[in-house]
Amino acid sequence: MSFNTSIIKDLEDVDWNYVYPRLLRYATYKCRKFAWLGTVTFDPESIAQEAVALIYGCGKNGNYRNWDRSKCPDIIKFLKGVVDSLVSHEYEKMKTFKIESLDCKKHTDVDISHDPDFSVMNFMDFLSAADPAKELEMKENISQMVKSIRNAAGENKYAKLVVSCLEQGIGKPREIADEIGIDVTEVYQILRRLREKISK
Amino acid sequence: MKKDEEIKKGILLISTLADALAEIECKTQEEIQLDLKKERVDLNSSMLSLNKFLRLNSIGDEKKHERLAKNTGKALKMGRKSIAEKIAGWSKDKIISRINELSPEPDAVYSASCRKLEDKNIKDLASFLEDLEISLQKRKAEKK
Repeated sequence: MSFNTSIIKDLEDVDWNYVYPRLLRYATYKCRKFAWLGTVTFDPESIAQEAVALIYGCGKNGNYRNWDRSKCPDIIKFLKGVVDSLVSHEYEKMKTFKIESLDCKKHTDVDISHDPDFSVMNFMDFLSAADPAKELEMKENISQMVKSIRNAAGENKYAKLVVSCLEQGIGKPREIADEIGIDVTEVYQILRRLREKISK
Repeated sequence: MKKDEEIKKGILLISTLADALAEIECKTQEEIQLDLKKERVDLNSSMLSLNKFLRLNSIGDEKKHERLAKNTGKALKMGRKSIAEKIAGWSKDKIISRINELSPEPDAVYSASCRKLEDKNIKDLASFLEDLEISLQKRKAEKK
């Protein structure tokens, strides 16, 4: 299926001043999944702009995404899916990522994943395939970040419950809110506080 | 082994926190701007890049061309046809050279629409040049 140029007309109606900031924000946090890698970062702006380029039919290497307005009227939702796929692809590309790119001395290609999702096991494969010094550094990064998150929750009952939900893999604020019986806006506040404290 | 289990849990926590932060629904632009500022992402400069990209690419709306053509008395749609005819016999190098001649200085957005011109096939390049020429005609018409 080729790029459907009639989509361009639908795109003319999009309020990019509303859509793009939300998309960029989404991409920013999705890229933060990899903060513990230390030297490797994904650029959220490139990811968000590539997502827009793709729906305009001019993505990298001639790639494109056909947005079907009738099937998915919410363009933000559609673009978020594109961002997920791009981040996933970036991660997949790291399958043959050179160890040296991770600031290590070895020059071997490392298979860090078996499928493009971000399962914990894939990350574990990545860690164990890295240079021992780098592995140690990344594990240290992870331990520090976890410590910071737990410290950030402190003795606040709800913050601790939010962290507990996150530890179980519950990542939708609404689901967290339902799980612990508080309003979703409170969950938002707690999540932001956690983020602020760990970045200090 | 115990340490590995802790690391696994740690990765899950970090990853899920990132997902949860991404899923926060922001009501206002200021809220988004503040979040992005904390993440050291410059929304304004990114918006500028996006707008440049949109200016280069929102040229497929035939109605707009027709409206402009009406207003200016110039048939921009016909312009596309004549440009296509002009480009038809051009070599790849000539098309790339003309694109570079017409294009603004390279920037983040420009690179999104116009990456590695040499790697693109001649059909895509011709189509891109067509769009670029039409876009410039349109801008000239708008100024009048």
